[in-house]
Amino acid sequence: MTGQTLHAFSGIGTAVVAAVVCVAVWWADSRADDAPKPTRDRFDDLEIIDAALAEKSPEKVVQPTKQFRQPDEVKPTVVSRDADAKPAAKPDEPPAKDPKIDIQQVLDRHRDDDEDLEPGEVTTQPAVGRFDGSEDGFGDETKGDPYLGALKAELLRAWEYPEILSDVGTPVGCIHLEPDGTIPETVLREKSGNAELDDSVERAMRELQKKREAAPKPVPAHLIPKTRKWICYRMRV
Amino acid sequence: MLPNASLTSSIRDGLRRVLLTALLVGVILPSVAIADDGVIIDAAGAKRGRYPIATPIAVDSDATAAAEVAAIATFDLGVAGYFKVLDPKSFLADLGSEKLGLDPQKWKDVGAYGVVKYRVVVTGGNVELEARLYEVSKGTTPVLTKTYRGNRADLRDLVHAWCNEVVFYYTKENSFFGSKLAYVTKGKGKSSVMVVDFDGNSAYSVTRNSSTNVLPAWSPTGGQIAFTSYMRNNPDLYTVGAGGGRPKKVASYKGMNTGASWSPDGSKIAVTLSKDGNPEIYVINASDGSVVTRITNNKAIDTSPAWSPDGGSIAFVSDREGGPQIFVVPAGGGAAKRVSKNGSYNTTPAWSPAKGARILAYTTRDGGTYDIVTLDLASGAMVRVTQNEGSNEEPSWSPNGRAIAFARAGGGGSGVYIAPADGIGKAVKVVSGSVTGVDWGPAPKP
Repeated sequence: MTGQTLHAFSGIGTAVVAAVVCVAVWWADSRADDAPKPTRDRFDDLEIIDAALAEKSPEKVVQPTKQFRQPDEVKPTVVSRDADAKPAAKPDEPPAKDPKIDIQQVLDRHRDDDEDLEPGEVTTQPAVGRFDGSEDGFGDETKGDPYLGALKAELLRAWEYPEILSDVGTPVGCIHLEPDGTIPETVLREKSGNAELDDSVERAMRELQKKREAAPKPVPAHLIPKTRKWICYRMRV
Repeated sequence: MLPNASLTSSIRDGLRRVLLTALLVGVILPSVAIADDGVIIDAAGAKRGRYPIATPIAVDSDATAAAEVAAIATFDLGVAGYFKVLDPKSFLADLGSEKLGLDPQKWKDVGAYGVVKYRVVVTGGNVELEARLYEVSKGTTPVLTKTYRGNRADLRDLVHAWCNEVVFYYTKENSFFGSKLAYVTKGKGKSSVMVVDFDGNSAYSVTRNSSTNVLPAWSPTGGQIAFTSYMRNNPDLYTVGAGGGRPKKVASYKGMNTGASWSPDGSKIAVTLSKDGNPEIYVINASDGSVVTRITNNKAIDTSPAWSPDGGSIAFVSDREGGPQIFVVPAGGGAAKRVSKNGSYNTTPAWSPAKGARILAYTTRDGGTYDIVTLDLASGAMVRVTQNEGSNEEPSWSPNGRAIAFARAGGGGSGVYIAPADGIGKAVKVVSGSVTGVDWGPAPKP
């Protein structure tokens, strides 16, 4: 068999194989078009529920990145410099506030209207922060306040709990702080299930109460409205 | 098919309701609760203090024995390092009617969390001690009850045994009641190695020679005491039975044979030898004194070895960097590392036997006086055990690592004192007199 014959055979063979592949692809494609498409019948009965309570992952805290930006162009201005010119008059400063604060006035402004209610009369005020225990504390509102920070530190200094006992449990203790800084009452609002731990918190609050009785530290005026509520502490060993 | 489809649909509806309810209960309600909780201030960090416990005197008992029991229990629990023993003057309970029982409220009112009650009956030369431990919060049922019987003379040991049970109940660890201390007392022209109960009772001498005997060291089992004696005109190393007897010479190399510290298995002793002219730390066999390893090789003075409880390290004192400081070296020898960083004078290291701890107690000079401090080698945290109370030296740990015994001169009277290792509370004197070389023995066998 000559080389020419071999070339002819290989060319014909390649053409045949290509044709077979093309036909097979066309046939498979047409079969796919003919296949029944999935219907939505199975999902027709389902309702779509809006799920809007996904837990939001906290944003990643990253160090601020320095902005490498060209500074804004400073347009040259004509400066007239008169060495003899008088300095411009300063605007009048606002008058200094009177440092004296009338506590009674502040209290009146935040007076509990329920005190005026007749027996049986229904209050129109929301039951917020009452000493009847309907609401506790105000941690988020006063976070970082130095007076309350010192009060918490005083409570923690008075809190002693035996080393050999379990530290499991988080009782909640509340104090009633008067504007003059005394603590007329304390209450263990939530027990921890650990009797000694609860007892230690009650003792700490009573100790704080005694200290405040002996040396009351008046509540700053800005906190007085807030301290008309129980101040509650979730105590963790 | 239709009824089945209807049934499937109703099941599906039911499931849907259940899912919605679960969503409401599981997601929405907790978020409301969290909002409520969120307005309470978090306060964390109680002072971890002592457990308030009452040890009232027993009624319905032999009066003398009852007083003795109350005194021993008060002392034991007071120095244990865990308890605050309440003053009997504050008690409100009617002990006469309570007897071995308990009125929890009366004890709660005085701040007691635990109450120990006794009944002691003396019959001839025998004694029976019935003891109960109550946790006030758990009401009228005792949490621990034991009855001990023995000779009247053994009452002290029975109370120690009971107090060990009380500590074990709370901590699951053995305490040191019933253990012994060794120390050196100075006499005219001589000094003797003494042994005494940890509470200062029943002291006796284990050396009978008229020479100078110093630096006692208990073997790990408590059966022997190693000490250095000049009885042959050279500071040689001897061992003697804990009850006394004829000493056995262990090492008599030329020069110093001092400062013994036993290996945890009792087979070897780390010691300071100056046989080659300069004091160095060596490990020798406890049986015959033959040298196993030379640990240090330095021009400076190396002394006061202390073998760690895990057997892996030896702490010692060296002046290789100027003043005396504490160094730690592998027990097989190697590079020494300085661990004491404070002050210019730190001596007499002792390892805490507490499990897993790598804490050293040592003497440090502060101004003109000496005080005991502890140093946690892992964290670097230091605790001052004594301050402004005389000159305090040569600390030795209790077998459980909760207390430290040491020798004090001045400040409330010279003697052997024991103090809580956490530095909280005052030291208690257990032996009076001019003493040195305090070493606390192992825990008593139960």
